[in-house]
Amino acid sequence: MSIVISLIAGFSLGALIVFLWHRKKVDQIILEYKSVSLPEPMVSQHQFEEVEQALKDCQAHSEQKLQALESSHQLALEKRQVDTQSQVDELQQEIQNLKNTQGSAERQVVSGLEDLKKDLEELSNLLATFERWHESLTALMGHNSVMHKQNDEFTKIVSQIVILALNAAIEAARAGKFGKGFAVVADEVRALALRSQELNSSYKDNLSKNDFLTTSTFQDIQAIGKMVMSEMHSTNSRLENILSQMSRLH
Amino acid sequence: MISSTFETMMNRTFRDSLMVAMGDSLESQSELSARENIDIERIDAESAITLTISSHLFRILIVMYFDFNPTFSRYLTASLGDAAKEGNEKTYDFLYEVSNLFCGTMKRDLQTAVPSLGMSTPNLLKTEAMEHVRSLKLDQESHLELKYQGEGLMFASYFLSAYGDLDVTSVEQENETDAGELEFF
Repeated sequence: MSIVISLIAGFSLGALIVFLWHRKKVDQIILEYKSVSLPEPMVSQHQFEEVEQALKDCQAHSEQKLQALESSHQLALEKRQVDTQSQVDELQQEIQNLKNTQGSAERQVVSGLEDLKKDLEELSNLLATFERWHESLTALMGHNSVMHKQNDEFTKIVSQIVILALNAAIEAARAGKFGKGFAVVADEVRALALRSQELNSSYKDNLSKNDFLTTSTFQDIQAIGKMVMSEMHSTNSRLENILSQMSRLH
Repeated sequence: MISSTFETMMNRTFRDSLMVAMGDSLESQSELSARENIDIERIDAESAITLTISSHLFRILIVMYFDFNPTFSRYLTASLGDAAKEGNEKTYDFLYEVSNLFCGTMKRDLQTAVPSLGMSTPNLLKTEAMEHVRSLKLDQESHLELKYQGEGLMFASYFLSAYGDLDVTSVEQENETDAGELEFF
């Protein structure tokens, strides 16, 4: 487009220069003709007027051409301005569309992050759950402690029964043939007491195992829970940083 | 699999953390000395305080065994003054605090290898309950005896259950501020 405009402008300028040169030359010739008195005219008046008329026609034609060129140049300029403005408008529209899309995406991301943050904050209430577990474990351990005491008491009773059964067996032996029936009963009681003692020992061992398994399992759950809490806290901090950075961008 | 470097680090941090925690309340930590790698059968005490450090890769049960023998009572008096009496609340609070510091220091060291860790609160058990520790899946353990002024003060153990490969890699600590803090409900 600019090349065409340059060509038109160059051509117009050239035509103008040719026209001015022609005009100057004709004026010069007329001056020379008037100043020099020729003894005999070389050309007739009629011929002279024809030439003059031709020159005037040429001048008028050149002016017309120049006007046409200027008009064409003006039209080209106006068309170019219109085209450029149209392109600028399109670009501005695209930029606005992109801004709208970006803004919408950012709002969605921010909304998602804020929801996530809220969820994390709600999950942080797990701490209350750990406290509840701790209270439950303490109650369970207290209950185990009571069972230990009852078991210790039972151990003492069974030991006394074993001794009593032994004493009964001795007394039955002293009674001779009259104590034979009593000796059988005393032996049975002693056998039962010894079995109770074994069962009691096994029960005590199981109570200890219960203490250990309850405590170690609870501690593992508690430690993992705290690890999760710590990770959640860290994730929450990172989310807050991202949200803060995004809000600074706007 | 537990790498030898992880095992070495575990044993070192176990000993050092216990010394730091037990020596924290004393005028001079040099009054304490540790005898490492003792046989578990040698452990003779009435009570045990247990704590747990857990991650998705392992569970470590830490145990401090003690009874109120004359050496332990002397240590308590040196640490707590006249308030130290067998079985009173202040004494147990002190022992829980020491066990928290012990476990917290270990946790901080372990976070160089495994950043995501959690730690339990302490619990008191009869030592006979610890006879059932073999019911856990154990992959590594170590026991030591701590001496105070050259006399037997207490015992300590750790029992590690691994659920993945354990190795020491240099990982930047993400959250140094909460490591080693006392954790009470």
